[in-house]
Amino acid sequence: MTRETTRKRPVAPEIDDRLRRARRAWRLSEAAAGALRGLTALLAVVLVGVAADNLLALPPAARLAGGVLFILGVVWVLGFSVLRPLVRPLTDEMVAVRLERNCPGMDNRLINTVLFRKQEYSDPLTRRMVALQAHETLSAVERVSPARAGADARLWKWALRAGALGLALGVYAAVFSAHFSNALQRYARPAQFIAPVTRTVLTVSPGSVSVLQGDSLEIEARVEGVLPEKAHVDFEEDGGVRTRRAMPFDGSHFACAFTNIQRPFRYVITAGDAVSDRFAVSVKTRPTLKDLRLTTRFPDYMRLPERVESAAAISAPVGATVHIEAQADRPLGTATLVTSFLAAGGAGEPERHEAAMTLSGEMSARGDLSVARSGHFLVRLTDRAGVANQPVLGQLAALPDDPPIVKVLDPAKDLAVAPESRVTLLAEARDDFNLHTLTLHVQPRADAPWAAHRTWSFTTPTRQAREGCVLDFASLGLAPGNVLSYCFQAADGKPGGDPSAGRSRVYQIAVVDAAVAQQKEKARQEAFRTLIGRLIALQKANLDATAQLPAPEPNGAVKAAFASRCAALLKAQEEIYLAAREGVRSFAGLEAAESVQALASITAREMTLAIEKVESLRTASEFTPALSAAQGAQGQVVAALEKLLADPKALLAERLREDLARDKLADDKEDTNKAKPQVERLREALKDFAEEQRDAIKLTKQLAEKPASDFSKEDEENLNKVLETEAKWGKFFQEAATDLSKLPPQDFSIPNLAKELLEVFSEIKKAEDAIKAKAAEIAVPLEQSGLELAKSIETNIEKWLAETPDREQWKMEDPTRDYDVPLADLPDELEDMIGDLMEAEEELLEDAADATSGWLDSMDKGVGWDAMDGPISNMTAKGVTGNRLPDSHEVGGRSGEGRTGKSSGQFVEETATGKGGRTTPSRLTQDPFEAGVVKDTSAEPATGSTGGGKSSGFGAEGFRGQPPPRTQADLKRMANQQQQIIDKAERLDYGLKKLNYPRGELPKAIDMMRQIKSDLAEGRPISTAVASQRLLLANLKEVKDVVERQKQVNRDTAALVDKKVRDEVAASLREEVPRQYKDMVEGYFRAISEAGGAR
Amino acid sequence: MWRIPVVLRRLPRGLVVAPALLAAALSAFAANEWREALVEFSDGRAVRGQVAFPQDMFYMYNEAAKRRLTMRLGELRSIETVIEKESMEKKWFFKEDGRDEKVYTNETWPVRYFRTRVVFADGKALDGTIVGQSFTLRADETVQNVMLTRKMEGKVGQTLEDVVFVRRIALAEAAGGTLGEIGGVVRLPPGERLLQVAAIHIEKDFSLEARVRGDRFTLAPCVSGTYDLVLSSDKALYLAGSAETGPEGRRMTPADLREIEEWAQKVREFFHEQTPLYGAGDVRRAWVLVRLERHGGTSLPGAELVRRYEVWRMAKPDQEWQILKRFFIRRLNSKEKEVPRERIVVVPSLAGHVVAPERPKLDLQLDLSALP
Repeated sequence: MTRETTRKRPVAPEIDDRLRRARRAWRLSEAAAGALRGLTALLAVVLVGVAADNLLALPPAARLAGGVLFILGVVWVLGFSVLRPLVRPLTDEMVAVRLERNCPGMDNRLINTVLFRKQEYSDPLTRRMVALQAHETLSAVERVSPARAGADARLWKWALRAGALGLALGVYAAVFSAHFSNALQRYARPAQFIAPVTRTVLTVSPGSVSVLQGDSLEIEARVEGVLPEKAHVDFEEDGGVRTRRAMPFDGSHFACAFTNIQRPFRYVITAGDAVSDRFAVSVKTRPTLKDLRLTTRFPDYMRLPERVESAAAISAPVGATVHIEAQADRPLGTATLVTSFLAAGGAGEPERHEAAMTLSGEMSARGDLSVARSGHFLVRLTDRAGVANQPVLGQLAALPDDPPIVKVLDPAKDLAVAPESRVTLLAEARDDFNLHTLTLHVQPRADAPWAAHRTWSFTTPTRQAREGCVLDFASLGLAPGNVLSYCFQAADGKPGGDPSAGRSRVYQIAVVDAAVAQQKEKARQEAFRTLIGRLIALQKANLDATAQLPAPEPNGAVKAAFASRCAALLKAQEEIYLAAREGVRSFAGLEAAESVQALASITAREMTLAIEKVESLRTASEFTPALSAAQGAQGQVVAALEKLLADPKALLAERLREDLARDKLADDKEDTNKAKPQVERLREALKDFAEEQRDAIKLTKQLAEKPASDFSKEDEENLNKVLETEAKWGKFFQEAATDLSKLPPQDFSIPNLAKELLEVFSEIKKAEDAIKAKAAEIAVPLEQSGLELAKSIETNIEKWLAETPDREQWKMEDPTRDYDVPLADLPDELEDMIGDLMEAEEELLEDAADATSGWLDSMDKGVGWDAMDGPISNMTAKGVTGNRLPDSHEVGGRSGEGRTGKSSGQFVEETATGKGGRTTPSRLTQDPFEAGVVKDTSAEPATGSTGGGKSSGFGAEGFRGQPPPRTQADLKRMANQQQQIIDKAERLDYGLKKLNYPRGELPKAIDMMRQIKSDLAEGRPISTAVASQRLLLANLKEVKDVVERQKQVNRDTAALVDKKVRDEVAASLREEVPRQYKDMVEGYFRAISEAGGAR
Repeated sequence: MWRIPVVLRRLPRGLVVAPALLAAALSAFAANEWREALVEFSDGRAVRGQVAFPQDMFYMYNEAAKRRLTMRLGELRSIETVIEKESMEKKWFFKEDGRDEKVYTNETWPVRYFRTRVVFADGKALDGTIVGQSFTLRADETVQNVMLTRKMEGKVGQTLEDVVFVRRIALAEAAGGTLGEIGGVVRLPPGERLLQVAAIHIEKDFSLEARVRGDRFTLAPCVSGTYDLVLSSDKALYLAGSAETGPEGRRMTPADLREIEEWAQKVREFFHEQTPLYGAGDVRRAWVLVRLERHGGTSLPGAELVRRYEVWRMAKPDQEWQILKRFFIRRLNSKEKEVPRERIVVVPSLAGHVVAPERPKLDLQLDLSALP
């Protein structure tokens, strides 16, 4: 019976020893095999990895993964293939089996022995057999080396493989040492950029860099090794799209410039097989000046309060101190105030001064500037990082304090008065900063000293003042023969000024005997009458000369003589006018004021008309009527002057009555009540435009004071607003010169305009889903283009409208030479076909818009079937209106009316009714002006003009382009006419001033007229002429009303009263005041004069 | 087979002209020059007065050069109109849409075709056909528009005699005008073959293509003025701009060319790429050599690469560049996707050749063999 025990009974020590030794050998062999396998694998991985990186320049992620896997592999090899065999348990049975497998002659003796040893046998025979077995086994194992337990034929194979791989790797490392070590380095440090070995070696500068916002950056890539054909830079901003840009070769390197850098970005350069590292460009913003507050302290003597303003320029009087407070957008490091002044004489370098400003807050600084002379200033800021701003130069204007200017307004001339007279003196003083006083200085007699007669003081800031007083000659105790001198003088307080500064002209008032005064007056009146007599004589002489003027001849010397005589007549007439005008001026103040008024009226009316009529003699198309008119006008001058001599009052009264009647008639005709709402509306519209423009200008000025690199988000929004405003107002004035450069100049005939009797309207059902179709490009190279150049039209292929919207984008390569395109005879009647548009303008696909081409043809055969847009201009007018909107490219040729689009060329139909189309900009083409007028009944707004072509009706707005030459001549004639109106208005203005009449808006109206005249003369756009004219008329009407009212106030109605009554009234003025009322009357007048002075 | 589409009509808005008060004028008319002239009409009238052509020039197509040449009035002694053909034509219209049958009315109207001969200041003459041009004639305080055209038609009921045309305009002052020729011999680097010579007239904005025979070239007819030459070999383009070589000349910088390239990308065009390669001048006027390429996608099967060289005359009057004129230089159409690009070589001696009465014929010896 066998009892199995778990405890092994010891076999012969030899067998145990052998087993132990075999076990060890086996472990070692396994470990070695594992190590060799692992080594082989790792060597293969290294070789492949190095080669892969050398060939493919693996990205960092791949190398990182490869490295990690390699390390894991090493760990695995060590752990599982080497260590594990050394430590794993190997039983005796396993060793025995292994040994017997490796030593076939053992015939299982060893394993049996091992197994027998594990059991206890009670049977002695069995025990002896086991012992015998053990001896036999020992003998057998003694013949076998224990090492054979570890023998593994595959070990050598692995060793060979490992050896081969090791050798290969060694050879690789030796032959391609640079590549090998490069790959190892790249694997060892995958996160770091190590350039792979390439044929081209790149050196990039400046690499990663920090730039200031708005700066430029030039990137250079220098190459060694193989020079590649091209290089490019790939760059991307944070969150942005990757963009590629080619780098041109500058002779020694590839370069690329980035200008006006606003945001950070990264870039990589590729040249040939070389790729650079990924570099980063960071952007530093500059500090900006947000606000500049100026507080101007005027010199003490000016007595002006401080002026506080936010401005970019300093304008202050010399001697002022300007306190500057600068507000930045970030904490400041330093602030400096820099001033510069031109060198004396303007030559040489400017003089510069720098003064540190005090930091008054985290983000503000202050400094003071004394104003002594003009120059420029700027505020330089640096933030705490030392980044400086881009300062904007501001103007510094040092204003000199000029002395006041004083003008005597009334009487503004020397007088001769009676001893008891009272003369009113009126003066006006102006100063550039502040008036302090105005004084009337009087010298009663030549031998008397000058004395201040009256002083007015101004306690509040005053720049302009008008003061006056009454000089009572009786109280001055002046007698006939005395001459009183007077002047006004104003002071502005400036110390050290010229004593005579601010003084008016000195006038004199001579005291004369009443009788002498009267005599003088009489003499003046006589002189006036003499003048009138002379004017009559001159006018009569000119009238006679005019009557003797012969009719002009078209050619030759007679014509030149005629022109010369006309010029002489005109000159004489003008001299009469000038003499009359001078008379009105010099005799102003005459007691017989109505005579002077009447002469002024004759000057403004009859004499001006006479000049016009005489002037028109030279250029009149019909001589006889012009001659009659000139004679008539001159005759009227004579008649008026003669009437003036006979009875000036009656003449003036008659004039007044005529004016009243004319005004009433004018009012009826003008019906200004109806015009008023229109004017109001126009005024509102002009206000909107003006306001919008003012806002745009204000915004632009603010933005202009800042460099673009300092723009904040708000600034950019404002800038966009300005751009939108301008784009809105200038929408139709863009010139697409690119497209126009392709169109060849085309020839023109002078055809009869064709009729269009046949206009077919066709309804087409749009194909379903057609609108969703994508655009298809049809690009036609030169080889597939050709010209028919048909000399006559012979074919008439049927046409039909499109069923689908335009989705073809035609692009034709331009011709390489010029062609002589024939002008075929056009049919007398054109046929058109029109349908509802397939799509609106906003639905048009930009991708389907054709490109302008330079092809111009005379097409005949094959023009037909589908009606669609295309890039070939055609001279045979075979197009039809169709049902597709024209694309946005330019087209020329000859055509009847179609839809509006960018077209130029010749219009060959006699009518235009308006068929809709695209909004089209105006631009200048080479179309010449043609004779012929088109009947344009279109109600659509006129857009898209080209500057040439035929005439048709009136547009609402002026067009850019060259106007017809006739129009040019008309413009110049209109400018001349405008000048004549200006002359009249100026004469009127002068007259009103002289007569102390209010002038209202007349000066403004004259300025407006001058501007219009200048524009007409130079042919500048006067698109606001209509509005200007209405405003002008409104202004002039206002002047007329005001003058009329004033006239009614001033009018001496005595002229209309009976002469006897007039004499009685006049006589009463010369009588003395009754004695009992004398004090009262004197006190009354004294009170008036004192009240007038004490202001 | 190509089906030529019926081109949509468009309304040329040039026909709408505002009245005198609202019309605007550009400086072009201010630049018009009035020239003393004697204008002879076909009805026997001879009007002595002054004439003014817009911009003082007109175009004339010359069959020999296959080019539209610019004629400046100041260089001409006379402009003569020669009747090429005249007839009384019958009015007609098509009977029906889709049918070729014409219906002739009994109405006739006169039609004349003209050729134009210009005589330069030195007496040389050039024939061609004028591109329709109106001019203004001022005489005896009257001003009228007159048309010079290739074809003139009268009204129904008129006879040929009724249709008056300008026979001759004799200009009182003419200076500097001549008809010349530029020719020469070109020596290229070894292995290169001369293909083409083009000349760009700098003042008058047109180009001419030379007759090339071997290494000789001839450019004719050359009117007075300054020409810049562009030579094309099978490997390179040789050129220079007188806007660079002149006294105030300037070559455009890479930044300028990049700006133009970026602007050109916005232009809708047959070509995919428009690359400025060389430029001379500044924002007021510039001449730029541009390479245009299209890579496939055309209607011509097998056209994988279309490459074209042009010179653009450009200006930047405001914010954007504008192309004012394009001059074709050369092109290729290849079945290969990649064709080596031509070298661009700037040779100052190719710029600024002046044809003038004192030297109307230029014979150039251009040695480009030593250039890199």
